[in-house]
Amino acid sequence: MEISLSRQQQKPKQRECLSPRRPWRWQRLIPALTLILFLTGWEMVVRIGDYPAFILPSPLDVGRKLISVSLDGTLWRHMGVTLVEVLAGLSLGTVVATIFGYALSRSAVIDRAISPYLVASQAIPVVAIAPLLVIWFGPGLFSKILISALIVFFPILINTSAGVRGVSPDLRDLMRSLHATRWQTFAKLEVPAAAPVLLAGLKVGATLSVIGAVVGEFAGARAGLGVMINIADGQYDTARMFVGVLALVVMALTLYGIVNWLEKHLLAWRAPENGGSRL
Amino acid sequence: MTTTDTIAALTAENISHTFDADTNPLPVLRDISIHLPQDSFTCLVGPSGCGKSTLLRILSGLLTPQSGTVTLCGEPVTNPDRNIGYVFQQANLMPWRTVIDNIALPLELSGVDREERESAACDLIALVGLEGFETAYPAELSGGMAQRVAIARALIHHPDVLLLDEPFGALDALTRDLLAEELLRIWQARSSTVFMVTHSISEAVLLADTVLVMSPRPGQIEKTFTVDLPRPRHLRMIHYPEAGRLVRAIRSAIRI
Repeated sequence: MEISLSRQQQKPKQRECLSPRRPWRWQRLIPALTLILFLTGWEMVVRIGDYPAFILPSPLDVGRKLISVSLDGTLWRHMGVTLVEVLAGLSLGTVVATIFGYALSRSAVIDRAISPYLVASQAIPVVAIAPLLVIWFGPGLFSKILISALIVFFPILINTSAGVRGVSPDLRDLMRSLHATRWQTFAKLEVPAAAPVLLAGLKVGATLSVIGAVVGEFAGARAGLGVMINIADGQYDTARMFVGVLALVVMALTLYGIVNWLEKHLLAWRAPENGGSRL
Repeated sequence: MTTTDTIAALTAENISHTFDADTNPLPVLRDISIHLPQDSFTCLVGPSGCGKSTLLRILSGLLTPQSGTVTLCGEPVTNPDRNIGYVFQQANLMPWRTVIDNIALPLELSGVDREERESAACDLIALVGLEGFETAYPAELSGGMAQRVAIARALIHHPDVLLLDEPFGALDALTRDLLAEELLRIWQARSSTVFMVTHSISEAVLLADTVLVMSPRPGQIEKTFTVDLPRPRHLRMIHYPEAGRLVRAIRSAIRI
């Protein structure tokens, strides 16, 4: 009885639940409308207030600048450098943080030994030690990668540790009752069980890594979007600064989108609970 | 191995256990001895917190008792044993695995290749009546279906003994009755020794050959009831007069 009933309900249920939530076509255009409204307002403020371009360039000025710096290659050169720093920093920070986070959650001794210092280290503003790291490791890529990794480290560490601690004790018992080896428990229980929380940390880390790289570039570098913005600042080329900021936003959003995509595909097993959120 | 008329599959001798022995000792189990004959169905009932789950963990080898021994077919159980299947209170499935992969997990961990373990899992899916849900995730299952998966997973190693810790406790009354009957069918199909903890006296009477009653903490086996209802059993047998008498007798034996 129960089976045949639920068998009928099961498959169509998902569609029925989703379809009313799926927005109409015009609803998909709402974000674009917001943008058009915002840009029009911006353009009007500049025209009515008659601000000089070095104080507030109009969206059209920024657009023209975007075209010129992408055509002469400046944008791509700087963006490439920052992208390398961001990707390397995010990877380094993630790898080290997951190792530490796992160790913390599995060993009370390690937890006692380093946790207080890890928390205290978070009181150090990365902006303040960025110049120091540039002095030590030079103005090249490495100091930026390090700064980016540092800023990414903590949220991923906390999430890894929370994720591993959150593994259900009953599932641990199950693995034990099935003679699972240490490695099997890690690969088949701890990793997938901690994945949702870990990926949430990676989402935060992805956007933070961009901030880290730019902070590093501000402290001293030869190339990168931070440098481009800095130089434009010195030349009162405000439109170029806007282009730099825009490029950073695009970069951070792309990274965020990649992690989001990963999350959606790796965690397809999750019940669709927060399907309504746009964040 | 002894060859008396009833071979004991699982035996527990003089089990005593105390939690947190150094600071605030809490005696949970006192001198419990249990003999589960081969292919028998035994239920354990008792008030909440009397140590039923602890006893089950000890029988499964998940917990080492402070004194006493557990033997499975003559061999002492000191660690979890693959010949003992364990069904938890909650279905305890891995939410990231499909039904078939959850059921096949025990075989996967012991290195059985994919084809073999999937065919074994498919047989069990048929046995517990979940055809069509092989690739569903636990989030898509009802509580009763999830518990069927858990039972199938516990059976995949062909264990000699199946231990169930209030497997239907989280289910609604109708699903509960249905699964109880299913469990009887599965037990007859797979012929293994079953030991089940339950809160429901009528369920115990309906399912078991023997019902053990445990006292409040520290738990002891206070009384043993033999259920003489004929097999195969049906849900309606609970209305037989002898079943009613037994339910009343067990209820008055439980001190709360």
